[in-house]
Amino acid sequence: MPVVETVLIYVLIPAAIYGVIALLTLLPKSTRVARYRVGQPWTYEPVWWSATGEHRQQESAPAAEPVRTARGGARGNW
Amino acid sequence: MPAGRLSIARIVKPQPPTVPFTPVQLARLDETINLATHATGIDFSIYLGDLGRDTRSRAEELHASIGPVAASDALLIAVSPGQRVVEVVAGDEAHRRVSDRACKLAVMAMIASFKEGDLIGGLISALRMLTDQAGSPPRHVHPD
Repeated sequence: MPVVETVLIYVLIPAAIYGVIALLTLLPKSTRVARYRVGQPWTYEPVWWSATGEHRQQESAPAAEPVRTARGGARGNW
Repeated sequence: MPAGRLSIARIVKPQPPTVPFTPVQLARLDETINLATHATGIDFSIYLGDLGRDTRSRAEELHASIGPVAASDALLIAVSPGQRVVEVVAGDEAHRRVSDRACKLAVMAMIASFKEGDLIGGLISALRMLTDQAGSPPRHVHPD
């Protein structure tokens, strides 16, 4: 077989397949998250993390007299 | 007559993100909260969302919604990135273990990170500082 044919079949075709697969890896993931920057409005639902997982919104009994459980803490803004 | 089993397989679609954090960041935060809660005996929790017009009272409402008994041990860190405010609310027992000054230091650390836009880093460093301050849970010695 001539040299050109050899090169075409055994080098170019694998390189093309390799290139197509490499391009596929550059596609953005469907679950990529946007990075949050200061000053952007917060459009996500509120999230509450806890270790015990026993916090439940007391919907059944909206207290007639709100119970004050806060004893201290701190606050700040930026 | 129909034979065979109905498949219960469902298509799993990737969900749109509910918070702008990667799974690695969420895992780190989860681990830090668990460690803080189990090491100190104080119920740490983090609320990330809007806090309405009066942020302090809304944060205290959330703290109270934990339940009248459980809220005494609970320390809530409420962050509203849209309003750029952070509120730390401590119950009775939590306030005894973690002083207001320690809460203020944690808030300052959080603000320093939040100014850069690093929400998870700020929350984790604040939790670590508060864990340090709280120490280990008191041992109840039964009088014999």
